[in-house]
Amino acid sequence: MSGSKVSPARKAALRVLLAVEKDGAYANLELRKLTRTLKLGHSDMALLTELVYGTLRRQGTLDWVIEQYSTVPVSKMNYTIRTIIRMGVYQLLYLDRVPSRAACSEAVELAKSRGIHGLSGFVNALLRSISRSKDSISYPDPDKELALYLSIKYSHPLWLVERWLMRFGKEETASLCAVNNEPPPVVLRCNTLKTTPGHLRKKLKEEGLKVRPSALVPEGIIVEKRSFLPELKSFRDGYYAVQDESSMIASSVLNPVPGAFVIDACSGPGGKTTHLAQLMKNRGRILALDVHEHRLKLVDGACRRLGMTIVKTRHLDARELPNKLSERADYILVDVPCSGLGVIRRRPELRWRVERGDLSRHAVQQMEILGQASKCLKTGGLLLYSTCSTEPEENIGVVNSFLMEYTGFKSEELRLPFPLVNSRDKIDVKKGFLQLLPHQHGTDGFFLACLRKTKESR
Amino acid sequence: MMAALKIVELGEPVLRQQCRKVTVINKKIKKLLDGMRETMYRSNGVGLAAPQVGVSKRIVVVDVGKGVWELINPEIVFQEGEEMGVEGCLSIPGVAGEVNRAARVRVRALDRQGRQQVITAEGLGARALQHEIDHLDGILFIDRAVKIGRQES
Repeated sequence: MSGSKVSPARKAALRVLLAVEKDGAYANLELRKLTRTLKLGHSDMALLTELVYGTLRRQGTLDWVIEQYSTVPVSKMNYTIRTIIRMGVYQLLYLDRVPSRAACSEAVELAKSRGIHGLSGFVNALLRSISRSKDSISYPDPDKELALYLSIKYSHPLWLVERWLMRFGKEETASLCAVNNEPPPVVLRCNTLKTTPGHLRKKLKEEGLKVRPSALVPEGIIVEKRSFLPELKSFRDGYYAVQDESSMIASSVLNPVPGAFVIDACSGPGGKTTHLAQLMKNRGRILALDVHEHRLKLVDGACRRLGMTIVKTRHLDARELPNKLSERADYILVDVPCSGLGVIRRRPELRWRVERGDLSRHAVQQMEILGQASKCLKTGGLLLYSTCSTEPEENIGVVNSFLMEYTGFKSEELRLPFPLVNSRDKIDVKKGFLQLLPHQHGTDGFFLACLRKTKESR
Repeated sequence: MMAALKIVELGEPVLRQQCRKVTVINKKIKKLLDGMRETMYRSNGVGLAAPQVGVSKRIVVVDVGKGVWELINPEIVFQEGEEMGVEGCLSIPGVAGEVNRAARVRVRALDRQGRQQVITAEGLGARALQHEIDHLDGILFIDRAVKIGRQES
């Protein structure tokens, strides 16, 4: 069969990319699923990851280049051909270690292996002409069409670039977009119930990782130069969880005392939930809610692995909480579903899926969740609202409206586990909120706001 | 470079003028909308009218936790009920007052693409819309407030 000529990493990459393009799959989950069954070697694994993430991240730029040389518009191509061509052009433009000839011929073989013999000539001609002229490709003029230029250069949707230009200006928008195209750091959270960060770092070094302490959270450990983590013994033994620093900051700011009753209104896979449990020294009670049952199973699993016994999961929509919970919790974490625009670097396909109008749709739901969850808080209790979004509609917009409508709440100054450098951040933190941005803080894009209930809800 | 606009305060004549209708929605208007949106978020407001940034045009932005509403030439086409509530204004810092407003309103306006949109709102949304649309006619909440006091912060 002709298919055997194609490298296994490229074949696998095409499978993942097609699942993302045709079925709306998530690239990171699809990759994980595939690597479990495929058993690829280390270098194939690295190439597969690079091809999938790179092709999705650079899609905007790739399509621009393809449009210049193709007689058929990208939108008119069939899924498989389009994906094969994008993958090929990605290798031509971004992977120096892949020779141009190899990129072209592998694409042709891929097309044949998919049974598209008739179009393999088209693939070949197109890739070769791009390969020949790759140093003279023309891009939009930054002086005339700055937004379009940035959108093509950094492969971001135009509407998002226009919005960021208004808010951040030219330099900052460019650096935000650039960071979104870089692989994110892998960060671990030490399970302080079982060990100390110092001990864990030593152990991880013995297990072959290069690590350093996080500058933002004491329990954070940054793994250097790793796009994927092997399964280590210390993970199975529950010595750490994988979690971004921004998300650790959320639980640290809420910082519930041991013995308290805490509600985690949208506990998701449980990163913040288990962090709360360790901050409480596994004493007290955490009620973890989520609308997705499979996500609660992940919470249960994480608690078992990490040795946390105070977490109880319940399949509940935070907008429909039972009356008996009202005015009961000492602390509430409201980490709402959002556009995810703060984690573009972790979810390469996300930028092409979010639309302008989604922000309002999310905001309505976020406001409902925040309003309902807030009723479960005791008077005097503390609530933390968070999103992994960069956009104000979902963040300060929701919090301001909440404060106007729920007059029994006051914003509370954030107590952060690290010092701030930016003077605007210092003002925001005093006012009770903080917007973390990948290009400024080095974390995921993340928003958190702290609210204290001063009067009983009506 | 920060894009937030300067908010003018009580005493500026522009706050007391009747604003002009927008006839053409061009790049400049869209840029103004973007700037107003950013300024509203930056100053922790739930609404902002163009005269508050020194532009005498019938444009407002509002965000009451439902995402941003961008309204060009807004008109209240229906209102019902009454509700007393506390208001403040970014152009009158430190002052709060109780204002009686319609409990529910329907507003017709153009969006940034020039399409007709109709927004129905109650509670905070209705209040913010009435407050901002008042600005376009030079009316401030202190003109309507029954009780005025210093805002606790």
